[in-house]
Amino acid sequence: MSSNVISDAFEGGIKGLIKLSIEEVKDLVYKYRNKDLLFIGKKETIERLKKERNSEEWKLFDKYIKDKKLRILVQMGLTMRDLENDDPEEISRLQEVIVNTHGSRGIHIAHFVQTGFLSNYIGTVITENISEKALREGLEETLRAVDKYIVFIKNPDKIEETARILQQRIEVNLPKVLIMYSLKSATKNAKKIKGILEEKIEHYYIRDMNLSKERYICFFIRDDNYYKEDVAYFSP
Amino acid sequence: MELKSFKDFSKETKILILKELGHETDGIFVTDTSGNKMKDRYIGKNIEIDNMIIFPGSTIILDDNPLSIVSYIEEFGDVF
Repeated sequence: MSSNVISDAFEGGIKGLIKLSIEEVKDLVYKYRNKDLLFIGKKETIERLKKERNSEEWKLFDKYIKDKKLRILVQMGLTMRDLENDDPEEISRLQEVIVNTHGSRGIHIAHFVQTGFLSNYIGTVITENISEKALREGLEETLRAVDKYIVFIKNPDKIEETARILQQRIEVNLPKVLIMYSLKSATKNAKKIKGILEEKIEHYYIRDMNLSKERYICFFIRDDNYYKEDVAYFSP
Repeated sequence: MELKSFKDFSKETKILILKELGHETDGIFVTDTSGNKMKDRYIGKNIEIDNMIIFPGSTIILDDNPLSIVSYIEEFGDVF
């Protein structure tokens, strides 16, 4: 008897693992080939994904986000949120996989969803009375340019300097929307930056809100009635 | 669709299933018939037999992580 078999028997004995005969395996594989059966890993992973894809929040994203890569990253944001409470170790592993596969931009998109800000963004923009197509395009463009136009304000950020950088981004690129968001004690900094920009930026609507005591978001939305064709040369 | 978790099967049974599907293993990783380790098509990681999921189609074996699973669903459609 090989050591593997001994270890297998030991493993099976301890954990109650199922050991099938060749005939039983052939039956399972037959069902698999007929698409009646699927071999999965952790049941919890599948259950979590099914729950997320059935949620009202995913249905909203599903409607407005068609780009496959963005859809994947948005779903990872929902998964990261679920894992926050359920499995902190698993969230670290997942974040590493996202960074290795999609880079820092990927994790920023997922984080924007995880914190609940993407839903709020869609809810805010919908009220601006724009077409579904324009909303979808604007949303996807903003997510693709996440490092430029979705700005996470952290506590050590210098207020004046950050305000100046954001003012330049808006005035030079004329994005459809620039989003600033922050968590916990950094929300004070974000509100000060908003106050500075409010006085300096023209022809942008500013919408801000506290999503909870510890979550703040602020939108700078381009006034397309003012810019009209002029913005066709800029993206997004 | 019936779901069977590899977490419930003994190592010997996992190896039998892999072989029945035309794959091999070095005891730790899934390999092809030439002994080359198979990589997850979405994250490029070698696939361990203790951490794999098998999708229908051309017998696509992936690492059991949410990113790979969702990437498969977005490419081939929902199977659950």
